[in-house]
Amino acid sequence: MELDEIKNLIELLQDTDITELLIERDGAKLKIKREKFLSSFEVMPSTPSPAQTAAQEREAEPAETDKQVTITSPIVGIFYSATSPEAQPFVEVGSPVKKGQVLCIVEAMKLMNEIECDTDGVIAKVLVENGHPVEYGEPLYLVEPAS
Amino acid sequence: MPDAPVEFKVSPLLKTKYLGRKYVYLKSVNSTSTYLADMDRENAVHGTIVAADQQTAGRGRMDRTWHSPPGENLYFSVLLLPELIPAKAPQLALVTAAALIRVLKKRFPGLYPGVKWPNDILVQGRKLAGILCEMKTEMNDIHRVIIGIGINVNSTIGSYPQELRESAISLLDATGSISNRQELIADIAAELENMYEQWLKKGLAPLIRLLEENSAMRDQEVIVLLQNREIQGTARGLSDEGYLILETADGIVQLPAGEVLLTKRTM
Repeated sequence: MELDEIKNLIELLQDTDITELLIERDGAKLKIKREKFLSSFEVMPSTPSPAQTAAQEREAEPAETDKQVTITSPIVGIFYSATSPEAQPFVEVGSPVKKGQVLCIVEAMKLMNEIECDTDGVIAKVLVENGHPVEYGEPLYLVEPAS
Repeated sequence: MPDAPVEFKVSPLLKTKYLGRKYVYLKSVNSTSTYLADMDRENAVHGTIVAADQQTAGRGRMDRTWHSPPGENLYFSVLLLPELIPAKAPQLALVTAAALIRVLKKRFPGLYPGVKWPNDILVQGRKLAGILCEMKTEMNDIHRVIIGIGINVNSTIGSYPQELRESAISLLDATGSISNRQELIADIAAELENMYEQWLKKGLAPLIRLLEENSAMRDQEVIVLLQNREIQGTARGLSDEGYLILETADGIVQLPAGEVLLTKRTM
């Protein structure tokens, strides 16, 4: 396998959620592993270019139905579903939510970013585990809007 | 207390365009940041400062408390309404740290304050000041940013709760002199506005050098705690974005979050 080919593969992986890839060809094996936290933070610019923003917006639509609204992270950081490890989460699946209600906190450089819901509805899915790193534009919640 | 940061004493000292021009002083409050967050929108204008002589529930990160006795220290919060994308806003903790460093160095030659990335100011390896930034966003809009600042000014080590005696320090402890809180908060407001304006125009780059030269951890072995793991390495400065550059056994990494533990005291 050529060096360029390997480089291309690594680049391809950077834009995905894939953390491990094993390729076998002509008796050669290539395993690429990336740790989500570190690798994503190393490559993620905190100030996205307009092109990236557009790309992120397209990506950030895993809604299961057309109606569901995806709440995404506006910053790179750590996702917290509650104000502290001991506290109850702000919301869970099934929680009714109002526009403007705080759903979670994403922390970066000790800035606590309270993320507000932008619609009335019900939490349909929580997409990130408490304490996990999130990237710019990463989907955090699916909300079923009130009809 | 004669030097309590009351409005009629602080206002004449302010050399700012907007920071602190709306100024609320409270003798006692649960938390200046909470109070500011609850102010209604007509009153809470860009640059509003809420200062208190005492906080009954001063906050740190993750529901931790900030020891806030009356009559001695500075506790205040600043409201900013930047027209920015949220992704840049986390740098405000560093902008604030840079402003505190510059004011402290100017007022107290020989103090040698250092930044423990990203939001603590240490003197002799102990915490002199803390910064807690809170932002509200909806989609890709910033509703507001509140910067909470606590500085141990005229407390003495003996008066701290037992668990803080090893880890905290005040300006009085470090310099042996009482400081005037009104002058200090006015100086900080001016420097913070100055650096904030500079940051809006030029980004973090001009401040990186100041932060690195006054780092409490440069080239030191540190452990960075993340929620479910820890990373050990040597602190090697800051990236253009303000991320911590850490040299680990597995190579260089850049961290946008995490809690730094100094493995060796900087004393």
